[in-house]
Amino acid sequence: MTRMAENNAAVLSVEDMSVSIKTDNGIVRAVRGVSFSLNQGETLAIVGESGSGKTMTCKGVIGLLPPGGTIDGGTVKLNGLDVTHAHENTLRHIRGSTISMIFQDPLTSLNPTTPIGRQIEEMMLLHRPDMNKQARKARVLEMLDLVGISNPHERVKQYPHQFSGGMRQRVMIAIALTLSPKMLIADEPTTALDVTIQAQILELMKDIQRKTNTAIIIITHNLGVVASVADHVAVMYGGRIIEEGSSDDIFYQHKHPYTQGLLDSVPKINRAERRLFSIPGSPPDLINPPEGCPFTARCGSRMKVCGAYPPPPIRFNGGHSAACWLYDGRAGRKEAGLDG
Amino acid sequence: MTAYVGRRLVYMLITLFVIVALTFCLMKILPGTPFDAERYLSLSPARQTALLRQYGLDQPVYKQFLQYMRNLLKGDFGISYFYPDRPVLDVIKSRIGPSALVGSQAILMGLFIGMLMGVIAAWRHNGPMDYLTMVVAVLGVSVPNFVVAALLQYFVGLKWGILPVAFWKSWVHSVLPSISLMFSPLASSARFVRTETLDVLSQDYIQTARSKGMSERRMLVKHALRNALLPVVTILGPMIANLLTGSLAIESIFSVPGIGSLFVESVRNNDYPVIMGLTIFFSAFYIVCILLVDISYTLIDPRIRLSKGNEGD
Repeated sequence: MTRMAENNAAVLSVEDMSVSIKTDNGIVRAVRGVSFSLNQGETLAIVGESGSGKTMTCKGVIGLLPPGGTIDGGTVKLNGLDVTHAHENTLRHIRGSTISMIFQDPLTSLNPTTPIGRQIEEMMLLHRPDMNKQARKARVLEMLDLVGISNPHERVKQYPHQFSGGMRQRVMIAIALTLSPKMLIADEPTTALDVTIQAQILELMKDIQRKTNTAIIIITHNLGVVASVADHVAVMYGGRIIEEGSSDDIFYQHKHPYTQGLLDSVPKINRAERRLFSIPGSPPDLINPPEGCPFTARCGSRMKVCGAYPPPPIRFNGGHSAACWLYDGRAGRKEAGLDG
Repeated sequence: MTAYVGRRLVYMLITLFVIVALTFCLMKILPGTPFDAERYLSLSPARQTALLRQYGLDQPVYKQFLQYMRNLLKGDFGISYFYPDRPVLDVIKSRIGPSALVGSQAILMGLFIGMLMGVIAAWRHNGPMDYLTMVVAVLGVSVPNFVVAALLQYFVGLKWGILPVAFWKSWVHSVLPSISLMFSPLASSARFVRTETLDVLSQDYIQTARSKGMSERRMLVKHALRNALLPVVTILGPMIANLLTGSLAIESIFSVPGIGSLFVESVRNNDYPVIMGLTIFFSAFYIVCILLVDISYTLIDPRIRLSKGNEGD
């Protein structure tokens, strides 16, 4: 067995991970060298638009890549265990008990033909053979109570279609947290819900995190969600983390032009502009990813060097860093090289 | 639920009445009478007319129909013309057994193998098992069962001499007819289950199941199969009705004294009461099968309720 990592508190550390997916059109380099780590009780938000690689990053971590998908570089250590080299059986035991995941659409992520109590209980059937029926039932009721579902005694027997969207997401959270995992991945947990319910679900997740000290990765493209729950933020674009830092860093000290664009495209109630800003262009094709910075084609401040060399991450303070040539002194020299 | 079933039973009676009326008319259009000279060479024209009068066949068709319906309401299906003195129900009863045995064996084997192949094909999508399943499915649907029957008779029965070629003496004699009939349910269930399972496997709740740390096998059995089963149940009703009521071709080829061959005989002999009796039996069985399928939906899928709201179909 792998020894515990030196840093006891790091639940998850991802080092230079790459994910590629074989498709009929070619190999998609969905994630290209991503590193981050997460301690107990912390929340990391991974932000980016569709196709930026945020979901594939997380599916790589939990080992649920789609058919044809593999981690083809880097290491992922979850609770001290090297996930990238672990056997599928080992991974299966970790899934659900050490790391669990909730998905975007609560309307479809529950099995429509199984009562919800059973779907929660299943977690214990799979991972806790020591628990007897009574203990399992008690835990199911406890979990439903924890996620704020009233009348748990009656509701355990009900089927998903008898619950509203927000209630189903609560059930999903109950399932995911039944075995008190060290780490929870929430893939756009509020995107399919209406705004008032979104706030409730986020509040619930934060509340449970305070009680259980679970580390949470929340994937989202909604910066409002980020602001309300995240300690750290990683902004992804074209399969790379292009800027990361604390919530405050990202909202008030952001450096990368893409982060700027992302924040500009959030509607603001007190501004007079009629048209909402949107970043022109579309994200790069990851079957043939660009050589340099993936954002070059859409960037307002692009230089020659941007399209030619991938920008190295530049540290600003503490954990804040951005991968952009604008902040790298060597940019000029590289430019000269390109001219010559 | 009870109200629903009751209503369905009333519809069933109406449907049956229409079928009976139509069949009665069609049957009367058939040329000849039950007592034609070519069948009974010794029968004199005078005797023929006497027989026709005895059975009331000299009456106008509408009177015959009314008489038949009157008897039917009393539960009297009449007496076979071809097997004199034997009530129709007796004749039918004596021939159901072999058909039911061959049919149920064919269905059980066909469904089991077909569903297994379908699930594996979907799970290993685009793998060798998937292609094999598709080939078997296409062959099973497109090759008529009497061709399969002939091949089986030639190879298994004649050349290798493993199983009897025909006749009905013991259970062993039911194997080849069952296998010949098996391919159609096998093929259609394999195709249906494959398509449905592929669809179900791409659903989010399968991803949820995987994220729970479930083994693939458990995921397939506990989460995929049940959800994939519902559309398969739809084809089950007609399939069961078809097979249990006997196959004309297969029963002739293997000389199975079943209900299918009885039907062919009765039409050939203009044995009106038996034709009518069988028609009623076949249609009633068919309708009941479909009703049972509809009821079984509610057991498989909790979202479906047989209430006033959605009984539209």
